[in-house]
Amino acid sequence: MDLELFLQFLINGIALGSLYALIAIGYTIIYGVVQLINFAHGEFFMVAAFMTMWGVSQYGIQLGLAFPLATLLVVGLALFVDRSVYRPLREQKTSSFIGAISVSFLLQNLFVVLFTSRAKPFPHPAILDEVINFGTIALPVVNIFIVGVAIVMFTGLFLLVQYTDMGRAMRAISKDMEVSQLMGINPNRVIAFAFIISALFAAVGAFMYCSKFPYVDPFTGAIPGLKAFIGAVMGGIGSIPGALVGGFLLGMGEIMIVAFFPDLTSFRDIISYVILILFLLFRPGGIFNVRMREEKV
Amino acid sequence: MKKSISLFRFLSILLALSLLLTACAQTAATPEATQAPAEPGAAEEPAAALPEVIKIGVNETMTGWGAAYGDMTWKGIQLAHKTKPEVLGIPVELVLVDNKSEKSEAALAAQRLVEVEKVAAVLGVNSSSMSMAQNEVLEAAKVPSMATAATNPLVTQGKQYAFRACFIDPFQGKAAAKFATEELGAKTAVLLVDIALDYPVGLANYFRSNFIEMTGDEKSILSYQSFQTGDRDFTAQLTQIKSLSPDIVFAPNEYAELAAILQQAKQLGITAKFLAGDSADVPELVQIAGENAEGFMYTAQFHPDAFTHPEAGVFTEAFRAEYNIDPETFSVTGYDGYMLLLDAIERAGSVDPEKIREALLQTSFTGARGVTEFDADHNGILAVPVIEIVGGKKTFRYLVSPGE
Repeated sequence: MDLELFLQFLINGIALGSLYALIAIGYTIIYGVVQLINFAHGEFFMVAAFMTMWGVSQYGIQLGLAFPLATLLVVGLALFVDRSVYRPLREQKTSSFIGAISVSFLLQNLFVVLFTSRAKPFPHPAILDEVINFGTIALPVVNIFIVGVAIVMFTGLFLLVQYTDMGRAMRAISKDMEVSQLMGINPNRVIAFAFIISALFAAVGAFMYCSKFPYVDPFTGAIPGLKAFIGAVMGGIGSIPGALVGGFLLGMGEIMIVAFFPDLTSFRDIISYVILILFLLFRPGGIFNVRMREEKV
Repeated sequence: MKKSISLFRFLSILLALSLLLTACAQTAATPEATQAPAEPGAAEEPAAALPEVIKIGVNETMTGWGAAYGDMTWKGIQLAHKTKPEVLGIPVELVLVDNKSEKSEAALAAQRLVEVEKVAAVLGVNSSSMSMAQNEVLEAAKVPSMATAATNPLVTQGKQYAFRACFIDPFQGKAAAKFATEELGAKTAVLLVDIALDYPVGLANYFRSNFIEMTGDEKSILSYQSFQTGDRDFTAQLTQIKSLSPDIVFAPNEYAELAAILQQAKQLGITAKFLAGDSADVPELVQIAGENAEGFMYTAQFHPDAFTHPEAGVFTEAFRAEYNIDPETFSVTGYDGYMLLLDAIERAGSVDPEKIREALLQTSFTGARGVTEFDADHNGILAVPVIEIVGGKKTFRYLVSPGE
């Protein structure tokens, strides 16, 4: 493979990896504070994309307004789901898990019934369709945006977790919920805050994802949600750097498999799932070897 | 305790709401379904006794991934029903069942149409995988079926009662290869295929064998690139394709994925022509892909400019007047499918399944795509128009006649 071709694959891989990392953050933040795998995260992602599209195409709202509105709506939805489904089930791990899967299917089917499952074009700024060419290498502008937005979001999250009271409370809760409560932290407020952050990442991720792959339907969140979840587990679920690295590696890996082993393209998803199982079996803490509080005796 | 009760209440309200919504959607879609109850057992009586109403079941993909296809097919069927609402002097009633674009649901829907609704014949499904599931049930129950746009050969092969209102993929693949080699002068091609569905895999294989035969070059297919339903990033496969610089990329996939493929191909600067099959014939493709769809070509079941006999014009005008859009592959197969069934019932003079089947075998009916007859395997013998997107519009480019 010549250098130019390799660089092209690299550009593709960086964009896909950044997208998975953005979505993976949503899983890891929730897992970090409540040890819940929020399987509805992919649907929050879909609702954000869908509502943005709906606002623009049905009500003629400017994209610059429709997207923040959709984001608010998804934040509200995440808080509502936490309050009405996850919180009552907080103490029962299996029930919360089943609850999360139910919410995921409920949202998918609700959107199919309300909006049909026909794929619709996703409105996005025209600049994102531009391409910068370096000889034979093509760099789509949308890729630059994806990486830029991801860096800004990750930096913001890092600062928030490290230097704010809420961030400290989140870290404390993820270490030990009882002791944090004794220290005067209200876990429900912290968990609600984690849902707000995860919904924000879902909405921003959805906007970038659907600007690059420009259509939306009720199943839009299913596959990227699943892939990002695998990424989060690979990195070490519950860990923010873990989700970042895991998601990025998975996206990059999907592109590089096709680049170096074109004959294995059909096995791409199988390889992802095998890697997931291997991690669960032999290194459940992921690349960053995260230890959650249940594991301490 | 209190909390869990309120949660249950909340969940049951949600469940009730979603059920209600589904029910509303269902009844809204089947206005005819509530009409006069049919005589049970009417079909079993001697052929001379005709029922008060002739029920025709419609098994379509109204929700799920195939919703766009199901909706267009249903539009065609409804127009046909409006045009010809009765046969043998008896009103025809359509009974629509949604199979949610799932194989198991398609079989269940067929069962319901046979056992509960006691339909005389079934129209649909537009999808090959689901038609196969449906036809297992209908064949056992000896109920004639007319698949709409299901093009995989296995849908009717070896079946007594299964027919279809469209050409099949061996011919569609051949037509695409003929167009690519003769009209576009292509010498090399790459295949880009969703390997999770029967249709793209089958059609790509027929294209491959014909393309190799027509170019006379074993190595004319440079590569077989694959992906799976739900994938949206095709940049890796397309980068490989770009490095091979083929003349043609044959990508017979679903419309939304095709739109994403066309967009990413344009971004990567691929200059090869993209060619696909009749599953591309959905208006959303151009809406999503926008300018990236310029020059994209695909084989279809219909284009208003491809057929010149008067019936084609009558159909196109009626369709435009009814829905304010142009007809395409799915609505034409729904429309013709209905007309073919009614023509057979008329000649049979009965709703006896055996008589309808015999009449179908003798079919020579002029529908929207000209004189339609069935071959030995009950497949429509029909021409294949090739459509090109020019200036954002579907433009008729080329016609491959049956037997060519």
